[in-house]
Amino acid sequence: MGLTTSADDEGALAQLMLRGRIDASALAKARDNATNWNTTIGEALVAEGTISPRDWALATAASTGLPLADLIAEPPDAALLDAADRDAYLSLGVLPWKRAANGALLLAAQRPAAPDVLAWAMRRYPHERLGWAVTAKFDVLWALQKRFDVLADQEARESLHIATPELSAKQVITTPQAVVGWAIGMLLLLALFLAPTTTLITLSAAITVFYLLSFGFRFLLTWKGAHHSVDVSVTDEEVAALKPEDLPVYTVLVPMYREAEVLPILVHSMRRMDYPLAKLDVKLVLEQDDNETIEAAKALKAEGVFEIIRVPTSYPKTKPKACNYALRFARGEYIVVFDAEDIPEPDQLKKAVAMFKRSPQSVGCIQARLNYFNRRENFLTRMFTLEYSNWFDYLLPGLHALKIPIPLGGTSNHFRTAVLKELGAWDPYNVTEDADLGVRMTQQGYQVAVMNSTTFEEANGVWRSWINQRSRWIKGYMQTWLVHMRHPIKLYRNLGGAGFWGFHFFIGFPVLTALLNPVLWLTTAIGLIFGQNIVSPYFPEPIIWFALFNLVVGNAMYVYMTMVAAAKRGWFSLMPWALLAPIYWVMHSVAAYKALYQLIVKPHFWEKTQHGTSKVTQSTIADIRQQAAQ
Amino acid sequence: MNQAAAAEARHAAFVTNRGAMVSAAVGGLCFLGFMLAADQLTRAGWLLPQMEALWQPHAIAAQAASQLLPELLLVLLRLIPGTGPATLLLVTLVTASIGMAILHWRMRGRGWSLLGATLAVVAVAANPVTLILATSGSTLLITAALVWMVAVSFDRAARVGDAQSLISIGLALAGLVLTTPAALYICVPLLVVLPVGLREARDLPSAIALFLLTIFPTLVAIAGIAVAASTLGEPASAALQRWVAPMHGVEALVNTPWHAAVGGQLSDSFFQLLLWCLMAVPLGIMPFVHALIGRGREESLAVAFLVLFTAPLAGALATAQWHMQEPIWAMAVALAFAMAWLGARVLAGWERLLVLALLVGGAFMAWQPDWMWGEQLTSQWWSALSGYPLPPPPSGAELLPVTTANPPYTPRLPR
Repeated sequence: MGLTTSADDEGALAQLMLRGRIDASALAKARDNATNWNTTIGEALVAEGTISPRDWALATAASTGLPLADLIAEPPDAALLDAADRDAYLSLGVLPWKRAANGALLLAAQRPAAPDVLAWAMRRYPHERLGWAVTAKFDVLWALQKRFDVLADQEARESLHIATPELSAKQVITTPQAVVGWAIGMLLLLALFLAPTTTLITLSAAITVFYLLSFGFRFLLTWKGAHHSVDVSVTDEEVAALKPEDLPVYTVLVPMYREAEVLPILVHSMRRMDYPLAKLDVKLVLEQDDNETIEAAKALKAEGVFEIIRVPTSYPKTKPKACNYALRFARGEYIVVFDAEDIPEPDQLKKAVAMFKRSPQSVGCIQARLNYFNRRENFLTRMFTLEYSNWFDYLLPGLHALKIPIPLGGTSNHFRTAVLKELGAWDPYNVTEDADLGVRMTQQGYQVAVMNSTTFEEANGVWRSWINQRSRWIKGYMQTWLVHMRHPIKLYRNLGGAGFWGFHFFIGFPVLTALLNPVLWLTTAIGLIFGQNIVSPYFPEPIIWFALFNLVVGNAMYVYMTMVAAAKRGWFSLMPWALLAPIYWVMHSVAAYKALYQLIVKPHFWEKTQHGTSKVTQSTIADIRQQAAQ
Repeated sequence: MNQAAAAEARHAAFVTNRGAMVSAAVGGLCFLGFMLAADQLTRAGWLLPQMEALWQPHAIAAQAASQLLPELLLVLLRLIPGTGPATLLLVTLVTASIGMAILHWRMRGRGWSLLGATLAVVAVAANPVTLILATSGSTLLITAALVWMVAVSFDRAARVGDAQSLISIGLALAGLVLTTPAALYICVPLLVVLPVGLREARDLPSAIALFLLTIFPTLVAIAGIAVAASTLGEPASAALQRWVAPMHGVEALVNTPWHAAVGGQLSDSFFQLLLWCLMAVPLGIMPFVHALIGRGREESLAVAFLVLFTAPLAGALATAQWHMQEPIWAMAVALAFAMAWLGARVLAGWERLLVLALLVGGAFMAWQPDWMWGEQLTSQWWSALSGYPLPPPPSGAELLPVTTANPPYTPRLPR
């Protein structure tokens, strides 16, 4: 049963009818929506885009006789705003505006007569004479950003580092880590000098065993993830059983930078979400200096559920910092991060709610699957699709099944907002902040689950851009490994044996593999060109047998796992492309060396991925525009 | 709730109620039976020479290339201090008993009562095919176990269609070709039926893709043989020739009764094998009964076809090429397919009774003189077990101790 409209709401509706802003059919639809969604009728009208938040505020002011507080034209008195009250200001849509001539404190509120607002005001200002004004949702947001942007920016950048510096990647490598690294390097050099052959044999044995274990681990994950039981985590019946009126407010963060061209995709995706519009809290998180995207966002004239958050320009200029900043303004019980060009499956939010509701509170995050809509565009997009299919359809469910920390994917991570805030949110200095957060959550006793809903993205099909993006990811994995290995014993205690080794095999070792591969390729090439006698002394039996197993069976099975990746989604035409995976591995190694270089010289630099370059994306945007025009 | 979900729920309830200890006890019972038979075979002086022949390392390392998996297991066993041919016998007996325990456990998980499952497993254990597998000291047991894995995986691929089942078919096939090159003959009917039987095969491209997915590990295994042997200083072609060597020139080395009767003939050998399979493993017809008039109306007929026909077809194809000297190999395949099916189905009450009757009937029929007791291995085994003297070898034939499905072979190494 939805809320019945209050007398004030009825007055505001009458005003809107009088002014011709809504007609009878729009009113009837809004009443239905408000009842079904369990929201106010004003929220329903704004969510549908029938009126703007400002229209509703004007109508409420006219019907109640209260003044309209235009907080953009006349911002609140800075002295009256208290940073400690920011959450209340946002959740209730109220803030102290100014002092009236008679000394009364004027509060600007979206819903001045609402009981929860009145109760808060009485509690917060017990000794004040209170006066009321009506304001709009965006005005509150604007005023708070304006007043607290320096503080919020500082919090976004530094709160994690201040609270738990050992979990922040602001410092790339700690002194003990540097000492241990230096000692290992020196010992290796000394051993090479004193006993070169024995040292090289030991190294070849260690590398061979390491590759064998890595292959075994990857295969185990693929095997576990390939079982049908991991595929259905939320059923259609569970989704259908959710009642719209019981659904909570869901915040959607969309951090963007210079991506004006893909904005229509995002708005279109949000509109087709199977979720009450009035319960969506979509934040377009834009950099303050990105005028082009800000103007494009404004020009869309999207429904009132879309809000623009302007992130102050500061260092580091990273996506996690922008998300941290926007998190302060989130109103939802749950929160999800999408990229601008993402196309999530329409039932994704409902699936996440269903899964959260039936999971224990310790499940703090649910990772949806990611895949690509432009998979057939070129070699890179095909390989990327195969890789992502393996990653999200097999490996992550495998990690979940084995209770190993899951490095979250770039987008479509759904969180309990309270848990995210409790953890200190994202590390703005880590360039794969999601992966780091996944491990941090597990360390803190929370679990990450995976669900059977997919978000389709644009695969990076440009070679240079691919290298840039991949180098950032690898650099981020290096950062994540270094951060969590500052206290290895504590990490072991927190994660347990499986989690600890899983962390190394999934986050640390793949990076090392990408760096080592060229060395091994070179060794093989030398053996083939100049004869086995040059390298065979360093691969005595039984090392040579395991090395051969890695070379033939290991590599072939990696190709096989890439082939299998396409099977779950039935993308059989991609399978033959898996045979070209070795070319893709070479590219990984190129990106890995770039990442290593950047880790040393520019550890926090964010290699921006350019979206919107795909023909499929362009075509999708054109279709959306055409639909909108019709 | 749809039919599949209902079956899943039923299965989950059975799984919850089954006890692993009871199945282990049934496995122990089978072990006692197998051990008594092995003891009799040893006393008769037949079993230990088999084991000793198998236990000896190959003089030439690369000679093992045709049966890498058994060789690897042997190498691992030899690494354990104090082991010998008797250890191999023990491992074989224990493995067969574990197989029986697993069958019991799986049947219990599919609604069989304790008594019903135990009687069924005892009937299976009493079948001469099982007893020969457990006590003949041949690598047939490994072949049977891998065929069982292939069958279980194929069955799941047909019913559920998940990627894990495809991977396990591929791995089991790869394991098979690493156990014996004659496994290629099992692959032929299997791969023909594969695209038809797989749940996810919707059209020709998807069928081809799934087909490739399942044979890829086999190709990797064959490539592995080539690379591994060529690392010993041989060309890859020589390594592959060695791998298939046991299948060549068999007729020149051995003239077994089986080859004398139907060697080189496809249809005759097929019908003969089918008849023997139906005698020893009449359970093979049960998937058709289940699919056509029983509970499994939606069951893939491809699975039923595989259970009944793979073994005689594979055996007939091998015989036509003179590559199978002992039909017991086909019986082992038939038994493995039937057991895989039996352990994967939830059957109605009358179907269970019929299964029990077929299992008991199969054990009874296979002990009759009309079964293949005139063949080389079976006749030797029977003689040793029963105490009757060995029958004389067929005229002109050289009876070799049988250590695998195929005779030992000394390759010509490149100069």
